[in-house]
Amino acid sequence: MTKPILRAESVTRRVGELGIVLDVSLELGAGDWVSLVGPSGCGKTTLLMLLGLLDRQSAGRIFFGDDDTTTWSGAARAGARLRKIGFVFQAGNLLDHLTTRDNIALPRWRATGSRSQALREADELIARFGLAARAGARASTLSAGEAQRTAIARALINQPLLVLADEPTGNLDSANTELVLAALAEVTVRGAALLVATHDTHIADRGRRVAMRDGRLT
Amino acid sequence: MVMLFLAWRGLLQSRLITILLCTAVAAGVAFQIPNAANLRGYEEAVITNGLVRGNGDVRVRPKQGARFADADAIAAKLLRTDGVIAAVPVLILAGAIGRDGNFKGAPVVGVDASASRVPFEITTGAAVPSGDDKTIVVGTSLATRVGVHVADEVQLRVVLGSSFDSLDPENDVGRYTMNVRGLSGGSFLSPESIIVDRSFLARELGAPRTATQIVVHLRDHFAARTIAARIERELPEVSAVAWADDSPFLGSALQASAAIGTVSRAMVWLAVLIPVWALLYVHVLHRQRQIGVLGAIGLPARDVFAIHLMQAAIVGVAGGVIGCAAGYGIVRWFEAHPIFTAGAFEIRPVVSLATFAIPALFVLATTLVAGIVPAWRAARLDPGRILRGTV
Repeated sequence: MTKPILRAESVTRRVGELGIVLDVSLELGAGDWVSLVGPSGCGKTTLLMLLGLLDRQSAGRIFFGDDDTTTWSGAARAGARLRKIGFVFQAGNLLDHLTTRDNIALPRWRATGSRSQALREADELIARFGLAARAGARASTLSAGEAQRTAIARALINQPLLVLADEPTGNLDSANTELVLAALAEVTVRGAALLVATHDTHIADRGRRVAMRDGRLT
Repeated sequence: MVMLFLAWRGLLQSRLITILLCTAVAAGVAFQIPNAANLRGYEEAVITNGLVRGNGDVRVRPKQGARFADADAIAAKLLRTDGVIAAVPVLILAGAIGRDGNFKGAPVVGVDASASRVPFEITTGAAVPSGDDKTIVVGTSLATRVGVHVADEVQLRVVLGSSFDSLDPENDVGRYTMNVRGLSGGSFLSPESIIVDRSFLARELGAPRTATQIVVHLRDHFAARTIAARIERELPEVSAVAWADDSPFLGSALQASAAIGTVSRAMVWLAVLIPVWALLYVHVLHRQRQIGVLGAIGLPARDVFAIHLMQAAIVGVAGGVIGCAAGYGIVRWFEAHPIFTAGAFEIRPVVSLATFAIPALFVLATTLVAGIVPAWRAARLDPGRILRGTV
């Protein structure tokens, strides 16, 4: 087996006495598609936040390659989110005041310092995800499907090692769901690991399925 | 550049808050510019009337006796002192002016018409030419009290005796019939004075080069104490007193003006700081989700801080430019409508680059200070908690 991109060892997240995520261990390798399924409130989103370095675990360790992220500073964690991790949220979470093109280009611009290069690469993703007609539209005017595809394109622009998606089709009709699934498939084709928290059986049936209940992987 | 781009777009998104922010900053600048210009105008009027057209920067008097025997020679020496631009002998005697037996007491000031600086300004008519012993200039206030106008004939009385203990009304008082050649204002003393040709007055005293004091004008008004001390060292026979020590009123007027300026700046500082701070804070609270997204896609806290501080800077610059334009308009209005006019004493705004640059930079700095706390608050937001809706 190739070296895992991400390795979680006995990760626990507590809020006060309440255990949200309990003793979770998980490995994700290049090209993996892992579907995280479970009932609402079982801790899926919290686990994604922990693995995406948006939250800190109460116990356990998370490794990126050989690097233990436990000791990383806030700036180092932000740097990893920028360059190594792509996040796709249920609500898209785009920057409403920017255009589709600028939303996608932003992480690349920040990472490379070159706006022209970032826009060039954003244009490639816009074409691939069928967003050309909406490239100049404000994010606030996009449909749910367009917003979700924009979010996936944004997550991919820095060619991350890991993409985390939280209910990416939760608000979509079947036509848009297919478009988003095709976009997510692009993630693994590009060699990144994909972890998707979902209730959607269309997604859950793809790749490896991991079930979660009451904060634990089952 | 990416942070400047995000700062700019963020402000465009919150247009109402941005307009309010720019208005608060512009109002501060637009208030402070005419205020500073008028205060400088007041200080300049005080200096002009008190020093340039008044008793000069350093007043040189004899240590012994009431008058210099040869004031012209001492004036020539003073003129060679570094920093001195004029040394004008002045002969001041007690006197009175009247018509039809109605006399009003006033100092009689003898000045050379050819002097480069004179302690008065002609407001009506003309100055007394050199050697003229038939005409006088009367201060505007004194002329009103006596009821005289240019070309009127008046009676002049001058105390020529040197000892007030044994004045002889018959022999020690000069009696002259003169014509009013002009009216004078333009200094704190001249509206109440009678101006005559010094050579005429000196001749009447029997001492053609005499003067009671020499009025010294300097290139730098605020070097007066230093130069007065130097004059006393170089000319031991004279007493040299700087204007700040000789006319405490002038010094206190300038100090009061500086104090008013400080209070005004403090008021503007608070009037800009508090609303800008509050509006930027509200702006951050309204944009929490956007800030959370920035954090989630990998912008570190220092970037978030910089973006919000840049927003404060953009508002400061934009508001400053608008405020300068508005301030210029207000200054022009004050130029046409001075805040105070009394004869030649008129306060007009003094405009220079500093008049605009200092208030604009001061308010820009205030805006940046006001932006620190909201920017720090934005940088401390936890993107994970925001995006999960727990903030």
